[in-house]
Amino acid sequence: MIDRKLVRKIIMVGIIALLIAPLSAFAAGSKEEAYPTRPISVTVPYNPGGSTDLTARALAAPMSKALGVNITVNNTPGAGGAAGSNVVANAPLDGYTLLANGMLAFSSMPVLGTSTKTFREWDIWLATFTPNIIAVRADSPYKTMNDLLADLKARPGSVTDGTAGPGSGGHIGAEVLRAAAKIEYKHVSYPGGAPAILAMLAGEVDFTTQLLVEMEDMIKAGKIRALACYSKDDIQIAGGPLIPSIAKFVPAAASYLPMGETTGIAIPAGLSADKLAKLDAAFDTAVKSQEFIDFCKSKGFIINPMGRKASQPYVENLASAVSWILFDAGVAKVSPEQFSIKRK
Amino acid sequence: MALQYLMEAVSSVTMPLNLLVLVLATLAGLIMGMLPGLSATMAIALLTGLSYGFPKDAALISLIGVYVGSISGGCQSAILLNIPGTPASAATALDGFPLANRGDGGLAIFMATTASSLGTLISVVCVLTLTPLLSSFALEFISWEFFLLAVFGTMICGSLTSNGNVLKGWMAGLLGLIVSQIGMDSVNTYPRFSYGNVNLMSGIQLIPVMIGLFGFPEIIQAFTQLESKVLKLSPFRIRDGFSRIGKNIVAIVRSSFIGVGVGIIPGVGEDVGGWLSYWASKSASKDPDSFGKGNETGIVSAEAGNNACIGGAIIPVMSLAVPGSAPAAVLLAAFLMHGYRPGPLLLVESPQFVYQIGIYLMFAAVAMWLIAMGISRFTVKILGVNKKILMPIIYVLCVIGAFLINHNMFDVRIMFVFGLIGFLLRKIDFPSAPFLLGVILGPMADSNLRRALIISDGSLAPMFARPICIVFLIVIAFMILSQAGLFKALKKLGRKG
Amino acid sequence: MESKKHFDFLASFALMILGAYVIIAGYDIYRDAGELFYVSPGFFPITLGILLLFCSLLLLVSSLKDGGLKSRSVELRLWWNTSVRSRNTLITLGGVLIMAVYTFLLLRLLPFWLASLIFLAAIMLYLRSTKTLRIIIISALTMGAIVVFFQVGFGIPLP
Repeated sequence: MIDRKLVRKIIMVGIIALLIAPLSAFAAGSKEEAYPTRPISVTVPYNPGGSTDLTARALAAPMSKALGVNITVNNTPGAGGAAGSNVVANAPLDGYTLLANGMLAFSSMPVLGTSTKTFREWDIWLATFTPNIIAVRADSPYKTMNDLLADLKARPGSVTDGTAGPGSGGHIGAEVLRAAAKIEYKHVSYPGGAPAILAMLAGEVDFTTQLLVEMEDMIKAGKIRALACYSKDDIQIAGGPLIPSIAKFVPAAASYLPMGETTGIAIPAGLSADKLAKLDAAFDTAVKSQEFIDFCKSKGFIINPMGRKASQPYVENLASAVSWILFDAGVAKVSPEQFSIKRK
Repeated sequence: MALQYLMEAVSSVTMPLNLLVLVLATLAGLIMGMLPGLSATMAIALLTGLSYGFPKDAALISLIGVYVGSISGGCQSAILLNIPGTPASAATALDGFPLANRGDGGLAIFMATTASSLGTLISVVCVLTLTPLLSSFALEFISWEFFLLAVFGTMICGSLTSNGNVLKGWMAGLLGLIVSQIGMDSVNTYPRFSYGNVNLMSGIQLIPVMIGLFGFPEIIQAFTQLESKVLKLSPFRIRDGFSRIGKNIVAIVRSSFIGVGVGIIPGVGEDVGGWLSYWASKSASKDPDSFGKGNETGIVSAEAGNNACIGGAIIPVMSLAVPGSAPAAVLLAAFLMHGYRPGPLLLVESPQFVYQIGIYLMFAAVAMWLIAMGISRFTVKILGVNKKILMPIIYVLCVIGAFLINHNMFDVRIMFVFGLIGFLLRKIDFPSAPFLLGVILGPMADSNLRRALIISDGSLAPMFARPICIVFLIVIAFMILSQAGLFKALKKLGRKG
Repeated sequence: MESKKHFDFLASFALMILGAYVIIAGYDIYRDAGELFYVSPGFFPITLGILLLFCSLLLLVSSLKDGGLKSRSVELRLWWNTSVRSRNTLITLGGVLIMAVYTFLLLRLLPFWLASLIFLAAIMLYLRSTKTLRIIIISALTMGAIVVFFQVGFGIPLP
């Protein structure tokens, strides 16, 4: 009885397969001509609402108009951005899977041991920049950067800094401060920028070194006081206070500036030249489009467009600073030399 | 002023086009919520991409509709199939499925849907009146509170589902917590239990675990069902349904307030809200033994609790730009994409926004009720067909759901593995729900405990100085002690017998 | 309700081994990460492992009530002879096997819709859910509906 059933099953499956085989062959034969012909997906390796996610979504809309196909944004958080990045790295290289990432986390993946692919094996387009700032809550005893520095020196290793975790922009900002001002702080890591800022507001940590876009509204509303920014010049918040450059308080930090998160899209190297040219053109239209400019203005992003060629030396420079800071701090276990990332 | 904003919002939502959008979005949400594996978070994320080109009002309405619909839709598959459509409705299955087995599936769906709707409406009242006041509640929770909340949540879920042997419920919770330790930890980014596998490094995703634990055993069970046991549904009178709701109104209101509170706390959402309000109702009940066997109060508590989280989770989104739950995080991103700036400036820059959202939520709650009642006739029919046909199809849907989380086949395989685990757990009478809640809350318990210890240099003392912590500690201690006492009593009985 | 104490007995052993493994692996993590104990990523797993070990012991003790080791082993043997070798178990195993082939093999080799179509038809034929022709129609309609709903309706790329 079972035998007959089995035979019938096999026959049925065979018939279905026969019916379908020509169809799928037809489908396979008709592709591989124009690009793009189907929706492109952009993977964001973080939760929605962060600076990477916002940049990706803001880029996706004008790029999809330029390319004439839909662009979907997928969030694949995990492993400090490595999970999503690796999904894209392992996807078929056909130009339909792009990665959006912040370059601090992206370029520090090799030394943190989460990827063996360095930024050099990717084609990168950079779109936005936002600097780190040092901020405290409004009722904090630290009125100026000098107050904070004095306390950091008076109680080494006791003043707490909340960041989005090891290797994040906030953590690297804090390590720069440590190296430049010769202070010791207590690093408290949170699963993202927003939780770190919330903990600072709730009084769990004393200050934070996260990114300006994440706090701009809170600064304007007077709930957060920005003590210093990681850019060469002071930053005037529209309708808000002036944030002095950190170089005014810690001159040794000047060589690291500007310091912050640069966000853009990337695809593993090796895509055909005409596909790359189409992506180049779409990216160029997107960063110049009015809707992208308006978006950046409303969120406090600085537009910092760089094509594939210009981005490589920029990321190289960034990677060298970041990798060595993380390695010196003992966070990165793999030496940057293994990836021939030179110390500046 | 407030009245004017309210009127504007009402007139915008009652425009024919927007009404149509509301109905379609709510329907889509209900269907996605019902399908196992397509969670509320994913439904909103999908719509965020689609709604980009909509006018602002229509986009907001569609997002709110999908959110309300998907959280409520999960109850129908939980009740009829014992497979919660979303993690939020896992508590609903506890009493809903026994009721459906008794033939009262229609009544159970009616009560669950009505409670969902009422829960959402009560949470809207909280949004409209208490947003500035309640948002500071989110700042009361720091690492210690998060840690204790995670422990507390897993423990009550263990006690509630244990079917007599609390020890097994807690052990299932422990197993879930252990599974949650797989992957990069969020304090030191150290890859734990990942054996060099990048997929494992990114941790075990929640949805594949849920589908595996709850869906798989039901699918397998259908293989050996001798005759296709079709769910018999006795009709019920709407008036009777309403009078039963009326009897449970205290439980609904209590659950709604618990839901709003849980919703506000960042990172803790609908899934925990359902369990907490269920636990509260069971503790307050005069007849706690009937819970888990088809108690109507249990159903309405779980559903009112998880739906009230929607309003609760939106409160910190609007006042602090911090999402109160995972679906609310996607909602926040969608708000930002449509040019709103939730956060401290919202009340200054666009004060009408809060009223808009409130009104849209209200309309969505009502629309959800009407549509859910309408389609429940069909779902009862569709989900009542021969399980040997239905279950394979559900498995394909499970595969899609697991895949869509990260667009990664690895998660599909994880789903299969957890399916086998879920099957074994059921065989040895370990409840799956605390396992799932352990997986949800594990990272929160771990990272917050260590973070708190880092800040206090290893001292536990600060925990005893915080009022919310003390409340949690007392309840947890009471739960353990009563269990230990029970063990002693059992021993005595054993000796006598 | 039937007594499942023999399962408790088995489970408590398995979970004790798991608990012990988690403690050992957690200790390795602690040594490898080289942080203070309460900061270490191994801290929480070790705690969980100890709790699991403790709970398994309690479960073992309670499972040995009412007759002790002897009656447990009798129950286990009875269970092995009746349930494990029954027809239902075989059917279940076969079904799980088809699901496994679909999950691990077909989905990797074939496009999603084709793999799912074959899976649906195969498993329904295996379970003899309904008439053959109907099975094929149902499978095809289901897959058509799924593809339309996800790919066309929402623009989501399926595997």
